Amino acid sequence: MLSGLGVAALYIRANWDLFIPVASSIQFAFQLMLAGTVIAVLRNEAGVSTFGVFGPAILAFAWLEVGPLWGFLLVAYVFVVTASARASLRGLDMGTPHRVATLLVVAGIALFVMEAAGRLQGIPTFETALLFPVVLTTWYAERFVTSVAEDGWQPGSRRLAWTLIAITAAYLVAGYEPLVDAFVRTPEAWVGVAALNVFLGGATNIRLTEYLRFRTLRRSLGAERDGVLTMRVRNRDFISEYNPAGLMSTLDKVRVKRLCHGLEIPTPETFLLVDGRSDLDDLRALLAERESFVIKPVGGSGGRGVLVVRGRAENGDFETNRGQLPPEAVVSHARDIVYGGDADYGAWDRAIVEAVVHPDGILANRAVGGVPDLRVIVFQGHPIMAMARLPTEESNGTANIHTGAVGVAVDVASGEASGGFQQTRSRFLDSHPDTGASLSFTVPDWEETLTVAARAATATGLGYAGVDIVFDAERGPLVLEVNRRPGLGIQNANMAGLLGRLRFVEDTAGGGFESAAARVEQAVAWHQADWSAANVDVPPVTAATVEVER
Amino acid sequence: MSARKPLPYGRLMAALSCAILLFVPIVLAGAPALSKSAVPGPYTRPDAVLAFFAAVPIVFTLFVVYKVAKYRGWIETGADRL
Repeated sequence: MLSGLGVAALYIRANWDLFIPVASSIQFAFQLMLAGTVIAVLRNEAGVSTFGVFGPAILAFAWLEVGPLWGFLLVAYVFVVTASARASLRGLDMGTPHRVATLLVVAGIALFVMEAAGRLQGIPTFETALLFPVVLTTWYAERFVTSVAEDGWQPGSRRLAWTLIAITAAYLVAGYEPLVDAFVRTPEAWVGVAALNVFLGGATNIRLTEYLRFRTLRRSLGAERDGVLTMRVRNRDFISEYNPAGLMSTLDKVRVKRLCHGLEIPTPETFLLVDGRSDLDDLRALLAERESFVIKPVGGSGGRGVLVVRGRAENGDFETNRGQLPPEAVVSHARDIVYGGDADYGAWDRAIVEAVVHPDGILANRAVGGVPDLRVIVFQGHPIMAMARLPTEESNGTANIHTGAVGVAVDVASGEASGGFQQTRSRFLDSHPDTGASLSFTVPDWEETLTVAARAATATGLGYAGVDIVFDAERGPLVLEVNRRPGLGIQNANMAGLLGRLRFVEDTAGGGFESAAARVEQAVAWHQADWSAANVDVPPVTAATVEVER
Repeated sequence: MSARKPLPYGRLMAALSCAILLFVPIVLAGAPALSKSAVPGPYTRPDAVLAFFAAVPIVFTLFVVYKVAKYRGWIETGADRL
């Protein structure tokens, strides 16, 4: 592609007198190239999270058209109006399509208000109709309010602030006349920008935000700091390599449960799968019989859309993690999941209704408001790192460390927990921030638990997976979920890098015919040997053994 | 059976904010009672309209900072959600 672009650039250069009027007349195309590259660098190299990928570049063009101050004010006005409208619609179970359509109506009225104010009061700046940026802004308002409702004010506000910074950066670069003029007049630079993107896309292994996120860990690892796994390396070298693409798109909660059931791997009991309107009557019948259950979107992640029903109040309503809800509101929640209310871009989904886990005391006594779990990273069937995740008041009872749950390091060899890390506040803890309970404890039946994790990961066919296990007071360890793209925060909790262990297993693991128990035993031995080939008696991998393994 | 929807304070305030944000500028810009003369005080009607639109992101930013401070526990403990 770059060669083709290079040839085209040379041809344009050779006939420059012919092409220069054309290039000058569509300067915006070249500004878009620069703005897009700025956004890409911010997202990929700096690692900032923005609403939308190239939406900020388009909003930067709105600023170029009407000036940065009024461009900002116009977009901000539409954003605040639609965000207010979106917040007022919460709890109406409308589903995404009608909700967003309603917001577009409100945004249209806001646009009319600005236009009217501009014309009636003779303010020409307000007479610029910015249709496409308005649509984008409406969608940002939708995502912002959803993010605040589910994760709290800080994550959503931070993302909004980064979006604003990205728009400003794109505006500054695309609006810098000397740069744009020089760029327009240099066809070779057009290819250079494409080449820069290709290079950065493939060469960047660590983002700026990851430097900051793992700085303490990297410092503590000293010479082995490169053993920290980053998102880019995880995606490229492990997820792409060991998780089949077909599985990545189809392995949802229902499929994982079916696979686990078939192999008698324990999971929470499933009551019902709501797959359409006809199943809602079955759900109503279930509500009459049961007082506690969980409703989850089958394709959801990060605790999004989960309704935990804990019991029934005296007036017949259900006590839930979203307050007291009448039975029909519970049905509405399931209907909303099915018709896309909880998914990005309103994609239709299914709702799974399953038993509530009654957590075992060893973890439950240390957390508040939710079900603690154990996250085990399993690579090629070997458990290589583990952490307990304890909900906090800040995490609103969820066990997700990005919302404020505490990650507690658990030793792979012994199951001993030794201190925690709260990612949202970047602090190490010896006790739970809300309960004050000690974070030094031992997970019971450790080998059995690791074996369950290894069997679940192997059953799904994922080479690299994060298995979430909950400890039920009656049934013991249950597989709650098998994640295809497990997060990297476990490294901070353990103060150890994943990459070194993954590379060690890649180099050392056998032919893949061992049982789950044998792989766990092997992983425990490797952990005791500090994941170092120097400490392990490993037969060298030869061409012959590779052939046999095939 | 019809669902009894809770209508919490936050949702009511959001609805009120939305209505105010749309209603105030259009009245300020076009209400005949105000005519096209200057609004009371040293500012003109266009000044008042511009001031309104300029105030929106400032007030919103202050509101978000307040909410994040509450979320972080700088003002009071506990997570704050919509």
